[in-house]
Amino acid sequence: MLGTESGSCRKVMQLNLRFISWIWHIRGSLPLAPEMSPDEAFERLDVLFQIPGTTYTREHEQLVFQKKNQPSQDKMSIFDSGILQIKDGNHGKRLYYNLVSKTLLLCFLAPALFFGFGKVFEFTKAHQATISLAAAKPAHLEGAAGTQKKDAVVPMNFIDKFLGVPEPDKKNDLENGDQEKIKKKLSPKAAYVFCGLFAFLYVIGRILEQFLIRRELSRVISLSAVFVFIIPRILTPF
Amino acid sequence: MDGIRVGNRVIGRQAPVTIGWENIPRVEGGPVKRAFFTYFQPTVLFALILFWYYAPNSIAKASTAIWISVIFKAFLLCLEWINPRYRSWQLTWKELVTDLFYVGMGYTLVRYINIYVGSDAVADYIQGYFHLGKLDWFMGLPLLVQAFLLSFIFDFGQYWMHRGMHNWYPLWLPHSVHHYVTQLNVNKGAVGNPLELFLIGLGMDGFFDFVPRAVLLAGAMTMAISIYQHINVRFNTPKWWRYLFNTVEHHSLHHSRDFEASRSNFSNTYIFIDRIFGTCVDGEAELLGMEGGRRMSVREQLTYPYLQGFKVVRKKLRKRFGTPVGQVRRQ
Repeated sequence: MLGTESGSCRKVMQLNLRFISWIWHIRGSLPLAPEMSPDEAFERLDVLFQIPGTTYTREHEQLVFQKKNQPSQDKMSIFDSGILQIKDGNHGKRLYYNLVSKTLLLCFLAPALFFGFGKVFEFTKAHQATISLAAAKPAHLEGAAGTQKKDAVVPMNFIDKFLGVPEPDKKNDLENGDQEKIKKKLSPKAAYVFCGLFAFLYVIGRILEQFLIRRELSRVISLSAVFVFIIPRILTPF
Repeated sequence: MDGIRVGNRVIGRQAPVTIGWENIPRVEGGPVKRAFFTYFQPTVLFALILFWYYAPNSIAKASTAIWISVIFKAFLLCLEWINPRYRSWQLTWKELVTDLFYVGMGYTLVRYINIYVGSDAVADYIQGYFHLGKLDWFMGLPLLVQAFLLSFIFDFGQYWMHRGMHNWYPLWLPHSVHHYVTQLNVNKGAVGNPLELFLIGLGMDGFFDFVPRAVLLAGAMTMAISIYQHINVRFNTPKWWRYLFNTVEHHSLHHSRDFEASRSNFSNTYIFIDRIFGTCVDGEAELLGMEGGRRMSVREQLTYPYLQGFKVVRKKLRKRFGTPVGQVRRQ
């Protein structure tokens, strides 16, 4: 009973994941030359899997691969695992691919992390403002000596004066108190900028990587096709 | 590999490196291209110094500095596409996203932690505890001297912290993650465990008072010199520049897979500090990283120092106090 329940639960999960798995999956298919056998196709694709950190198993018309700590210049470095299958369709054989990328998933989730940081900074900034307000009165009552010291304008060096450097702004100095500096550092702006940046990068990456992998797979198959089918025919025309 | 003798050391036994400026390739192409990649670095440095020296108070602000650094970085990323040092270092979408994650962490989490436990906060606490004022005798000096002193004091501290990281295992653990990078680009300086980014950001500057404009000038000088440390652009860097300042050539050697080469060029901005202390090696390397160029995932980079530290401590404890009972039972 328990087994059946967990099985159906898994099925529901799989069904639900199917609607969102496009976030970290890249799927697609490519037509194969009619005379190309699955063995030949996988032999040509083999070059993509002879990379350090890549392991794969091939059974009949299916190739399953895993990647760990893949090098940056691996043409499939963005993918961590995947399945490549060759199936017969209405218009001949096709190579179907279903590739999984943790980087795409993390990039999709990164905006949430930075949005969270932004909210924490907002909260801390508001909290800091309350503390500053509470501390402002005693500091004011302590006397003007400390404030006067801070307000004092530092004399400029004669070389800077001679060279025409603008004189320091007294008002600016007053504004740049320690509390002001902390408040500026706690500004959530940077966190929100990165939140937006990662959302933008996700959209770019999802489109770009889909295009690049399709181009790479077709390049590997077609290039081989040029060498295997066309060049021998040119060399031996009669 | 035989390696090359540099002083008392033999460099390049474990991985290929190029030693000596005469062996480093030059920029190829027409006269305009060669002139651009020869004079770009000094021109930007002097232009930024002039800008911050004379900028009106209304625009001489930290926010302007942030905008300049963002635009400058974006421009340098474009230069990496036009004239890359190595094709094998060329930026991919995955690398960009990973790097920007660390840049983002630096601008948010690390900055947040720094407010409360960073060197400035510690300096304020010490000065408050001992009723000491800030050392403000720098403020009467010419602006450029102040700016240089500010950046030099920071870099001098960073040199010793960095050297310490390569010589003391507890400090090496957080820093080791940064040495797993397998290629360099302008954002790679930010790649590392947040603990390391925090440690390397510690400085003595909090004890001193400087004119705000000198702080901005120092920031601009540091940026205009040290940004080239991790860049993937081939420059014909002038002789005087590479004698005084850290370059990508120096830093690529520091990131080399060769152990002995990685124990050189520790400064961030001023390579003459390395020259003074005998740790400078002039040269470059293409093959970077650790463990034969294994690329670390973000998750591993974030957890490695702690998990590895735990494993080492556990091993030491077991060695000292014997095998735990649980393990004997299993046997």
